[in-house]
Amino acid sequence: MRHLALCLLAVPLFSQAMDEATFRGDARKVTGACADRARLLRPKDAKMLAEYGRAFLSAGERSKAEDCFQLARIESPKDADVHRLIAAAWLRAGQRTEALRAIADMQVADPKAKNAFSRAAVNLQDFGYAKEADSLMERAWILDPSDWQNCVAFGRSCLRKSHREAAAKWFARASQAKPQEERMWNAVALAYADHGAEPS
Amino acid sequence: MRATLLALATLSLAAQAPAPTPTVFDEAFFNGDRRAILQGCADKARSMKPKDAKYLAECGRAYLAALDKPKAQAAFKEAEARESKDGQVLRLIAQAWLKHGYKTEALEGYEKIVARDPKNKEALTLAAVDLAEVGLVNESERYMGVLVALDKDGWERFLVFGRALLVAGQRKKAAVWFARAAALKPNEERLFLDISRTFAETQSVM
Repeated sequence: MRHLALCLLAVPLFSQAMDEATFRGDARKVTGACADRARLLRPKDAKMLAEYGRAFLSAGERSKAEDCFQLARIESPKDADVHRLIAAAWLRAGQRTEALRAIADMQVADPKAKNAFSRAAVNLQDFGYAKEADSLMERAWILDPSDWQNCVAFGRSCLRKSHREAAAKWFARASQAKPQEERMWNAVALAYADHGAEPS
Repeated sequence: MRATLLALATLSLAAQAPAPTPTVFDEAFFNGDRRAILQGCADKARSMKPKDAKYLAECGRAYLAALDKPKAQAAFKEAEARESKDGQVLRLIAQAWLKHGYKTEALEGYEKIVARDPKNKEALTLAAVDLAEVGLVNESERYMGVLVALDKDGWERFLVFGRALLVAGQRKKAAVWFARAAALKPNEERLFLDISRTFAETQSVM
């Protein structure tokens, strides 16, 4: 019965063609409509559910977003990256408390997920939480001090926010981790070349 | 007198010469002069004799950012000599010129992709994206035209290009490519999710 109701609800959405005019319309409505449409197709993956939640938050639909986040957590409770995606969505929406709660959940769910910690640290840095970002990155680094890629990625985010001293700390760690790695030297150089902007 | 003049001339030359590669890459170094960091890291990468032409091209970009054009050109030349028909390498070189304000060299570089590796869909898409990002929309669409002739069903590439146009503030043009992608894959959740994410991320600049 629920499945039938869902199908009936989906019919009007599927029948709406998403043409040029749609994409030229109000950006917030496009965000919400695309998220709705994506979700009706096959909501099977926890990370995707978290991403839908993020899109709904951006479209101003908080309750739909929370539903998606909840489903994502149920689907993959131990996947640190799912919790990180949820945190990033809250950060983007300017909801500090919810974001930090999701970051804490992430660390409990998988205390050894250094890559997720490092990515979350970048997210925190990008949204202005430098102190929290640095302490999370320290945790990632303790788990694997030889991981130069994570150090460079975080250093880049520090440069983006003009935190030169913090960036210097992480680039120095990267260079100590792998001094014979040409890719590392290039990565650090390009981070400075781009003033820390995301690599394209 | 001659000795004094020689000393002065040497001093003047030393002042113009790029800083020598440092031996210690510590926090103080990375917190120091940006140009010296760029030069130091690029020198270090270059001294390891990169086997991959892509790394050489990246090295060249670091030299360009450090305002050392001769070293950049040398790195690009070597990269191109190694992989003269690799669209990815050619694109990295062109992108380096573009990012550092050398439009003519960049456009010449992108043309090499069409001439030497005309079926490299990835390189063509990236060329179009690079150009769209800096507002060279007509030039970027030309590369997408070449791509469409090769692959008219490449919805993922249309999506990437639409995103670049949207980020560059070209909403009408972006809509064309999003609609094209959506028409090709009306039942692909990832497509709608990506479009949704792109609009969400760019809302603040609209």
